[in-house]
Amino acid sequence: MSAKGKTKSDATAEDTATAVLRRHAEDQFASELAALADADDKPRPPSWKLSPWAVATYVLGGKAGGVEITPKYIGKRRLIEVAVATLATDRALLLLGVPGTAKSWLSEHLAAAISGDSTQVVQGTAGTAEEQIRYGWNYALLLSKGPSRDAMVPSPVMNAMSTGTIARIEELTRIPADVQDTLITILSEKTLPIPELSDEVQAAKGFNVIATANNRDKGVNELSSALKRRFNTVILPVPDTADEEIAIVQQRVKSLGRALEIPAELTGIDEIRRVVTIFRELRNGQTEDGKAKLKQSSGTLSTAEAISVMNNGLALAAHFGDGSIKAADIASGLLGAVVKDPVQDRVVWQEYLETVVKERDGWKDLYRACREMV
Amino acid sequence: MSSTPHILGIRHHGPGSARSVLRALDEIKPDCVLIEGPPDADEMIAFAAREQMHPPVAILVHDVAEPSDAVYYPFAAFSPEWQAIRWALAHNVPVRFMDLPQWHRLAIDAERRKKFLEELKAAAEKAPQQVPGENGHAADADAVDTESDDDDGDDAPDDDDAAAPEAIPKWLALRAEPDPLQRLAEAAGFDDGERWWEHVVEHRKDEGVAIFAAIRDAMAELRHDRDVEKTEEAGEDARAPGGDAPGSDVPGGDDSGGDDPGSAGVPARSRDADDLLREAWMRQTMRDAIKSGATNLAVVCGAWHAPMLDLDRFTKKADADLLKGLPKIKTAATWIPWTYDRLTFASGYGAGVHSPGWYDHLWRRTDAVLEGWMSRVATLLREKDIDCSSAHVIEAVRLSQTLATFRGRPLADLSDIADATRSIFCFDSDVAMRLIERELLVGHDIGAVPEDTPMVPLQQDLMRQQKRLRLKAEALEKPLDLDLRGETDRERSILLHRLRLLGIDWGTPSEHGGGKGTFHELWQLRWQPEYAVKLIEAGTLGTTIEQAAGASVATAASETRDLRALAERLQDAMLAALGDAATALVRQIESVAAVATDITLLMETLPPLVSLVRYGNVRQTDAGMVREIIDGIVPRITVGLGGAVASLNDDAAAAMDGHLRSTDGALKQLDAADHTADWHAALARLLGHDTVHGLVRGRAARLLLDAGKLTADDIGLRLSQTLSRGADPAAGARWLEGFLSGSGLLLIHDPKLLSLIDGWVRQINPEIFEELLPLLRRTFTTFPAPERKQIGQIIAKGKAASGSSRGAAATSGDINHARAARALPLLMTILKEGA
Repeated sequence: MSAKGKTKSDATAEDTATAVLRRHAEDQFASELAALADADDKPRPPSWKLSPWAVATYVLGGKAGGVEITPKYIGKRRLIEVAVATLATDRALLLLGVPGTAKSWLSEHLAAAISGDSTQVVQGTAGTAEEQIRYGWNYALLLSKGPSRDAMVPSPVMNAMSTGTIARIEELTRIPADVQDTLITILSEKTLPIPELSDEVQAAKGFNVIATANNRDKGVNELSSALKRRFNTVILPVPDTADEEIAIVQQRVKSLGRALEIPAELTGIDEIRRVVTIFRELRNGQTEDGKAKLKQSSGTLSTAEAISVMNNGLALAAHFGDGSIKAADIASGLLGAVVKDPVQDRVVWQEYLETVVKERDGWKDLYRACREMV
Repeated sequence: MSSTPHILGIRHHGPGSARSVLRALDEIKPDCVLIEGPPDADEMIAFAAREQMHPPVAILVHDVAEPSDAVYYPFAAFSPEWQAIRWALAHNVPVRFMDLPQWHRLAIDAERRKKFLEELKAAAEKAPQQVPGENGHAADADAVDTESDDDDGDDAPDDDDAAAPEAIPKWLALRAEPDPLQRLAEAAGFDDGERWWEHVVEHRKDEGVAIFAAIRDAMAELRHDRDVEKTEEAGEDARAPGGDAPGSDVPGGDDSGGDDPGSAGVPARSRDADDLLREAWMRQTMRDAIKSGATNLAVVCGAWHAPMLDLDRFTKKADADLLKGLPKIKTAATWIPWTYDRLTFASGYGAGVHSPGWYDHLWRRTDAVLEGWMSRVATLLREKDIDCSSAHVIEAVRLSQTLATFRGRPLADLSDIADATRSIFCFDSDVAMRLIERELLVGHDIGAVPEDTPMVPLQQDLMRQQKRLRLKAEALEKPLDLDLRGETDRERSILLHRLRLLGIDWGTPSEHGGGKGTFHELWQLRWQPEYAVKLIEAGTLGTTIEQAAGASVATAASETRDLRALAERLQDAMLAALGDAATALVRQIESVAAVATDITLLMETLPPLVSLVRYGNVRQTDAGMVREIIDGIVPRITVGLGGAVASLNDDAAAAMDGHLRSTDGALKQLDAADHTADWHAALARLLGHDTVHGLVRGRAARLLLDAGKLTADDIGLRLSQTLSRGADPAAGARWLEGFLSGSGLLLIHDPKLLSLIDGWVRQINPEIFEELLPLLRRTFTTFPAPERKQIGQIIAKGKAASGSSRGAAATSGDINHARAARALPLLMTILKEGA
């Protein structure tokens, strides 16, 4: 992953924004977006900051003019093409996947590339109310001046409609079904009625919704078929190959490490390869060579968790170790990621340690480090 | 004065090509049409215009002497060749095939194969560890594949030895190089050559003939590139097996002039040699046509050949020299029904297309292609109860178009359509996608040919029977439930069984789906086009299916000395109602059984023979003769039984248990007193032998008890002996398994046996009990649930009465006789009326 170009171009922006823990995609990659916008000569849909081709390049990586664009999503090109084409046809996009498959990540970057603004987010929870999707009222103003546009507190969705930008809804299926359905009118008629004022907000061109949902959790609120029909669905899979997954972890750990100002250098991809291998094997229930069957752990063991294990290890190495990441630094993170259920998963983990890790060449240090933890 | 021949280079099975060809033909108005196809089938062409002819169909050309050596030329409605034939027939224009005839090509291939085998043998002698003799066949197949690939994805897959049992018939298993037009399409950013053609060709409606000139130039360029590559790797190719086969009269190719791009390199591969020969033949056919008066000639051939059909560039003499002295065999040709499934690449057909269903759609619809397709998807999904509205269709069309634009294509390609379908109709799931692929992209269409198409008598017989029994050949797998009590269904069953004997698994019998009725027979039907070849092969065995099946059984019978296989064959023959064949089998069984030493085999052979005698399934079999065999087999069994059951391990004992039961059942059916007595005596001898496995002894005791040869008291004695404290508990448990397994009624009605077993179980010490539990459980779970429940109740009651031996019968003491008597008059009336 060539992060070099990015380091250089982002260096100035990074200095000014040191106070923020994690910057928005459009800020962090401002220079890439600018370069893409410069080089972009293809037609842009109304109010899009970039053409669909440039958006795809931004997400998948490539070159724009002389600037190297880092890949934000490593995976099937087809998925991104369908996602971008969906947004270009003003259909709403629903990203599905198990936790940690970069749904929110992708939605953030798509919004940043298309609208230059990834901040119009509704975080869906069981307590999300209609006001958060439509609009609320500033009661002080409402009482003093009566109902008027001034007394309204617009939701991110309403804002996006009036500015013709992308609104993001996270964890759509966690939102109660009746609240979900307020989206139907917004998505089909592209208008948000305000009955109190006999008024409405009509979506400006360029408005669209990217929703994410988890297709693994139980006890969530399934989308009504009326709402389902208004979304084009893209399922984000777990990475196909170990190499793909390693590349993802490596890239993310690098950039996270920089943001968190952890001094340790990631020495090589060997540790990453080990973590990714362990995750993939426990996720798929068999060793990578396909020779042995394994018990599966109850955790999802997503790529995102692999990233956090590596990050954790990096921090340990920097603050308590000699700065270079060792087996012992990742062992505790591994234990935490794998053993989600204290009884069953512990058995799974121990069996895995004894049957797979112990036997593997060059994994002795990891085996010993993990044994000490269990 | 004759004009230059019009060369229409097409894409095989390309609907766009088909339309362009039709347009060009309308424009040219030729007085003779030549088509790339086997002249072997020239006489068959006229059938294409018949009303009963429905594509997909194929021309089948086969070696008369060796019918399994066969080649197919499939045509769909959207194949340009098919449309050209139909056009010519409709306009009364002479039409002929012009490719190198299969009477030469099959002969060339056969010689090549022979030569290669010889080389292989020579190599094997040199290095025996590398290529053992048996592998010669497999290696041969590979070699033929590489040799006979057709450059242009020709629709003439060369045949290989069809006898090899494989999922994909060998004759289909060949890799063609990508369709040359597909290569141009890919260069233009299309996945699907058809959409590219549509974009480049179809949308210029004004140009009819001109487009084909452009194609010819493009192909000339492609061929030139390839020849340059080939020259570079010629050194390696020269070593390819079969490179100097007789057909590749290669030096002759060079005679055809330095201006021939085809001879720029050394055409080392036989494929290239094939191309030279084929193109030379095509040119000669064109010259013949012109000589016989054609002034305006149209030629429809694979685009690949188009640049080579310029008559001015090759001399007649050079072509004639090239074609001199080719080996020749006698071939026959006919039309057979084909399926869309067999037109796909996936089925192994080298010149196949990815999705015949899609091409069919492209052929049928000229406008609103995308909209039409998406509505078909919606209709299909609705049929399968998956909700989808017109709004879905609209969105799917929009998304495919956007995706196409996004991917830089002027028209939505198949991959755009698939992606849009996935995202909008299928919620990005594979299940619905697979359904669409199977039902729409490929399709289930099967063609039909007129009844009077020349066929071997066997095919005609099958067609007659299919018509009479109303059994239609369909490409879709379909269940069939036959009620054997009905005349038609019984004959259908016989037909299917006979076909199976000929290796035509049109129907495969499926397991009885829980139904108890023995007069029902369940089949899964699915017709495969290549069965036509099997029929032609079987044509040497007889002129009707009955004759051929009989002959095939008889041949098989004379070749094997495996008693079990013979008995199975006999059963097959019975099911297929083949009297003469059964007689032959019976004779063979007799001679084999006389010297057989394996008692188990004899025991396996007995039941089918007995049912043959008992039910006389086979009308013409001499039941007396079968009876003689049985009379010979039974004594052998009874005598040898003691030895056969000694020292068996658990698995062998379980198998023997089954044999004992089936033999006993067979002898009961036979109802011959002397045999039964011998059998019982033999069983009785087993009881006392401790070396005999417990399971077998238990079974023997049970069979004797059921036959009334042992009394309950005898059994009680045996049981208490076997289960006594001194005996091995494991053996006791096995004995029980053999004795009881299948039915617990015995225990319900004989409280003494039950209390014996109950007592035994109670006295086993806990550790051994744990070991025995699985065994006992296995025995008792074979009882039906109500029986188990009753046994449990009896034991519980017995316990309550603290050891009193009150059994189930004891409950009858509570009957109120006065009330029971009231029902008697009515019962008497019923019984009288019944009598």
